[in-house]
Amino acid sequence: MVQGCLDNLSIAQEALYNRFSPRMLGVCYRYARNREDAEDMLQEGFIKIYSQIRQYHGSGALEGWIRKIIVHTCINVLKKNKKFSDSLDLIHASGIEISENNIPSMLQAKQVVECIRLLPIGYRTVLNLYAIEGFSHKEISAILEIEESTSRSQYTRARSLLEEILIKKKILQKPHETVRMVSMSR
Amino acid sequence: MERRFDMSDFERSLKDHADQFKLVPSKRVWNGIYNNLHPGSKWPSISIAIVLIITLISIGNLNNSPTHSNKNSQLTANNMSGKNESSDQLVDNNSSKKNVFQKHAVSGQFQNTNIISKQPSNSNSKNSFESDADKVSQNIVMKENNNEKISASSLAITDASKNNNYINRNQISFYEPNQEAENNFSNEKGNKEVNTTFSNRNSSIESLPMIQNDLLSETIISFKNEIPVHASFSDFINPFQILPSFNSTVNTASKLITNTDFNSQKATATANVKKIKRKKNKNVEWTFYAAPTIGTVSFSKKGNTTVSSSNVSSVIILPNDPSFGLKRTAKIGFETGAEMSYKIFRKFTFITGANFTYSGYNNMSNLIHPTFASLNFVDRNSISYSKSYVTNYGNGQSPNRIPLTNYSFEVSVPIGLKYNIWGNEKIQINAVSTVGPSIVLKKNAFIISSDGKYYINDASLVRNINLAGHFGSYISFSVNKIKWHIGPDIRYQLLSTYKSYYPSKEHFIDYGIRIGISR
Repeated sequence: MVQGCLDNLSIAQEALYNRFSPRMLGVCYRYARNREDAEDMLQEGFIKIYSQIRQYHGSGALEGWIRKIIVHTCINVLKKNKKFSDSLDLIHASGIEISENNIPSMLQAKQVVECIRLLPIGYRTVLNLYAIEGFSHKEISAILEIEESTSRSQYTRARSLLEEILIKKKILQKPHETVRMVSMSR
Repeated sequence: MERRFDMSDFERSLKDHADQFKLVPSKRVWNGIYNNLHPGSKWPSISIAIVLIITLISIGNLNNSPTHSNKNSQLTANNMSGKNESSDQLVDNNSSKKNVFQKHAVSGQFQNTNIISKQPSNSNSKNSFESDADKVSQNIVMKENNNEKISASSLAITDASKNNNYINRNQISFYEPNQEAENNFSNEKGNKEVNTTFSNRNSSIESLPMIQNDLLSETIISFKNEIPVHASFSDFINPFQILPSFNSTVNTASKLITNTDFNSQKATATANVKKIKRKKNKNVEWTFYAAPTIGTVSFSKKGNTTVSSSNVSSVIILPNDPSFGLKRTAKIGFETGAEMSYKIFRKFTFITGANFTYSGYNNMSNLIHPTFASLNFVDRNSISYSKSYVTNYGNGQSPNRIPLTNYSFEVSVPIGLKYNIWGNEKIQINAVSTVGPSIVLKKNAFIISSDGKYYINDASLVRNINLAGHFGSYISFSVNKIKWHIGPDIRYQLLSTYKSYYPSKEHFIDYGIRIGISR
């Protein structure tokens, strides 16, 4: 499949697309405002994938490599959006307590993603990068061109807000007085 | 800080569930990717569209071919020739004029057709009309009596009506000039049925230059102080695999960074790739529009009326003759449809879509007692003939006027170009020009009689296929993610409303304000 893409064979390109596009659209969907924007991100990402596939040497998982490009495409698209930058600037770290005891046990993938998408775009991006993509705050600060402390505070608030949403949606069970419901005032 | 190896259960659970989430992208995404990777492959579809347009134009021409009338005329000539020497002496050596009386009910009324043709006679023909030749000869228009031709024709109709025993089934021929054209149309359709085979997508492009990886370069720059360059991309998915423990993270990363000749790798990668301009799928845009219009009409004389045979040219009277004193008023119409635009060059956008148009105008008439009225026609061979109708519509010269609406409801496939005159991302001014074949779905026509005294209702004279051009200039602006397109629009019907044997061209002209939205 990769060799076919290197040879610019449309059959191989389509096969690669069919194999990875559903999962990658799920990734884009977490970053985008709506499904249309997510599809635009996916399209842009796959065009980059095909054009850069010579740089994939097969040393790692193909999906990981594709995912990396897709994520960065999403970030680049978001960074072009002025509202995204504004939303990051508004965030300042403050004392928000986070409890580790409230482990979501009955999470459904779609419900979780939809809850993530309820977060403000700045929160959501940091949460996606930190909690799901596994980037460190330092990396996030470099990617998003923000202060590391801002990344931390964004994530803290994002997580707290997400927990609140998940509890309200009854996806996450409220533990015994261990979770402090933090009201987010923006 | 550190690479992420200390994911909490909450985060791990989030990641697990988020990774399970899948969405099936729409077909549009792959089409956009494919068109971007294989830009040459869209030319076959454009070529097919052009061929289709040419085919439709050809069909439009064939649709108006009155060649079937020649066959009928020939048949009539065969029926009449060589029967009576006296009648032959009355006519020209190489021609005879025949009257074919046609009687059939049209909306409860009789419609009479009087055909005057100029065809060589065939002396070998035998038929049942022999005994009636003398009677028919009364109906023959005398060569030396051109001015009385209409009178003679009317007399012939009267005589024939009175003496039905002169007409048997063999002599009744229905003049249907467009029948053959319709046959041609169906044949054309059959012959030109296109087995659309899109060209081999693989063969359309030999190779694509590689794209400079701006994104990746940026990423590498961002990570160059922390990430080992030789680490596989999959490592980013699971940070635990990269660094085994928190304590060793910084040390390991630092060592790797120092050993990395990042700049040389980047330079090599840059040298090996070429930039290509990436075309966004946003080049494709769908616009839905509607436009209130005011329909007017223009008339012009056809070229072949000037070359009609000398004995009939005087009866060709055009509906725009000022001596008639006819009054026509504009009528409100509408236009709606969907338009797909595809950016092909920097400022040029290819446009196509589907368009519905209702257009028409009013003829001011007045009600009269039912009376006979005739229309004269000229076919391609300059053969003139007339057709009689019964009508109860006058030419509107009396005070009690009523409007008679000529209209057509058409569906068309416009194809054209949009030129960006000025603008930025938020506001643009565009000029648009399209042309497209149209199929008339519904129609009605009131036509002024040859003497200018009556209006005749005969929708069958209206073409079934036409061609229309659109010209407009729109201002486009975005409000809340919706792009609005507003501007004046002119639609001009390129082919005459009526079939080619009607000796006058009529063109609908619609002026409107088009309002469209797109995303």
